[in-house]
Amino acid sequence: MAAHSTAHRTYSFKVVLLGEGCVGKTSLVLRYCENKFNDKHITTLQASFLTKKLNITGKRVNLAIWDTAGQERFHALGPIYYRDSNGAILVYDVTDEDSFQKVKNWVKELRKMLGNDICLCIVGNKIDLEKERHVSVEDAEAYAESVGAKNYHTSAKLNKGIEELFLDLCKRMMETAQVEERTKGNGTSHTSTGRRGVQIIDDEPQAAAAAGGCCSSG
Amino acid sequence: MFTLCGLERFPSTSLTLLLREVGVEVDLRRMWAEQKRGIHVTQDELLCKDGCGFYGNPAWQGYCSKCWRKRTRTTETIKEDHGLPDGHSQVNLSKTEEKKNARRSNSLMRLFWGSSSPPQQESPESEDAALKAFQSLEPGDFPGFLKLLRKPPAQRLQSRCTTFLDTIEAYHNLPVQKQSDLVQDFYHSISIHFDGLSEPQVSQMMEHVEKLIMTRLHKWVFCHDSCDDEQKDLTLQRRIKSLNWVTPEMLRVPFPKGGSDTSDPYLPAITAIIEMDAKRAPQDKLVCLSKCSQHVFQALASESQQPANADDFLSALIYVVLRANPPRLHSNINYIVRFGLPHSLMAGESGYYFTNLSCTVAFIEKLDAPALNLTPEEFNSYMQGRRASAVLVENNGQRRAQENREQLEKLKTRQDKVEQGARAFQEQLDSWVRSVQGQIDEVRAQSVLVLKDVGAESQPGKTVC
Repeated sequence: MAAHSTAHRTYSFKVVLLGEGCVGKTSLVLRYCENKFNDKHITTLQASFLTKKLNITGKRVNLAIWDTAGQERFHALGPIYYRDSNGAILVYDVTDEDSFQKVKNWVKELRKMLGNDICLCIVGNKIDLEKERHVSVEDAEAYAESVGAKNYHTSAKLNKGIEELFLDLCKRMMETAQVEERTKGNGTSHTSTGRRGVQIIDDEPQAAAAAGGCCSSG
Repeated sequence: MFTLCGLERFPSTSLTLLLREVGVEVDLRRMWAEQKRGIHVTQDELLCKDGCGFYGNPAWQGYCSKCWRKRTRTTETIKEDHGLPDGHSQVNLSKTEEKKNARRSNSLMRLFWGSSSPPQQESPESEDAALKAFQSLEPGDFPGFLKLLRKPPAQRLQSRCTTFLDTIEAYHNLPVQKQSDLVQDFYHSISIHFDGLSEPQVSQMMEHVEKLIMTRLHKWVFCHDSCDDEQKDLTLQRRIKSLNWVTPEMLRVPFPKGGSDTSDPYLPAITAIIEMDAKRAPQDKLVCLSKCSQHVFQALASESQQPANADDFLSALIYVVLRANPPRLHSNINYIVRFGLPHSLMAGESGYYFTNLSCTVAFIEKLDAPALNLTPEEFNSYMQGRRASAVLVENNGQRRAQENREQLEKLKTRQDKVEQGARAFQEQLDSWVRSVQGQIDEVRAQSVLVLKDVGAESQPGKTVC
């Protein structure tokens, strides 16, 4: 948080993890942080707050991954979780169309609350179940591009695409942080001003039917 | 307890001592406090009395650091000039004494007001020595930090903290938001002291500073008059009380079946979160919360094989808060937000738990029927106490009946034992009586024989005589 010279500074990023109940959020982060999947020997009690230390092109990065409560009854609490976060990983299940709709709602909310400062990753998990796929790759890619996010395909079971996802996200967050630093210059303002006051913005969930109907079949 | 007492006594005694030695009227502080009795403080009152445009400080009689230094220097030279016109022999004496005094008060001044000398004037060696001393501290060694503060290398840090505490206490009538800003600015400016340290060490030192500052300020700024925290505490407490009928099943919290109150796996977590109110420094409150969260995870782990995700954790935390109804929860949360170190709230694990606690409070405040999988009618009847009492009474009655049954069962077995014992005793007694009777009969039979023999012998003797 303190001003350090860019040569040996350590980046600290907060990444929120969003996604419906059964899309495999937990498996995804456990695979990344502990390299374990459905393991009998998982020693960690919890997968809701995990950290990972990285070294990217000589720069140290501390990643804090915050799982968020995704059930419908906790919907209004979202903004409390993703305050001050640098990145968001939005997970959907490629075999479940509804989970993709949920991702769209979250993207809208995140953009509304945090603007363009946050790096968004839209992640289609469970690509090992390719045969049962219900969300087409083209749809996902097109949507991600339209909201300024990146689309990834992963499988926590086969450990596919997860390392790449986090590495890419870190690089993007570092870029954003550097741009921010440059524009801020030597300004005297410090970070404590923006964090005060817990505010809860409770808006009605968007009607799911409205989105995504315009594409031609194919 | 012990360390807290030490901390409480240490700065204040040294402060009054210093004040007396330097010769500053202690009344000044009171004067300023009285002047600021109202909540409203205008910009002009905060500015330096010399009108240089910088902010003044009550510790410097309302001057900014530069003007204060200028003033103290001129008064010192005036003092020395006054010493001169006295008698010759006395001049020498008074001169040396004055010099000694001046040097003493000067060093004390510097020591006490600290920032009156800009950081550039600090010799790099002493800064290095201070940093080295700080580096040698074990993590979490707060008493060690307090000891270190008394030693010369840390003098500057100590004086800054003391001055700051003095300022805040003098301004304790300011709105709490302003005080929060002051404290946060202080954290920011003090962190520059530790620029040469590694990042974990800096945060470690900042935690010590926070503990030092906030343990002293807690009584002034916690649940401050200028905000409606107390009102909100009461509202929240009443709200949680009115929700006492919520069961773990409604919140979808994994819970052992058929458990009674004593076997609640969340009991350690409930105790930990209640303890939070007793702590004074924000970080200590966060430690309590972390402890509570760890207990929650342990309880969750005993119910399921999978590591807990955020949904499980949040539901369980809601249950814990509902059961615990922690005292002054709203005030505690606001206090941590206002006066805690920003980095521990934004990044660390404790920050995550704190966010979840905020979520919990928001959820409880807005709790409605769908969130608990109930119909609005059911929810309302629970809230009005009709259904809740029925359920409670039923539960209570059943439990009591069960307990009574068990007790009766126990009594019965005990009674059986007593009866058996009694019967055995009776038999023993009977056999004993029988055996005694037998002995008596035997003895009597023998003695009758003897008597008869005697009678038979004597009678013929009589007749003979």
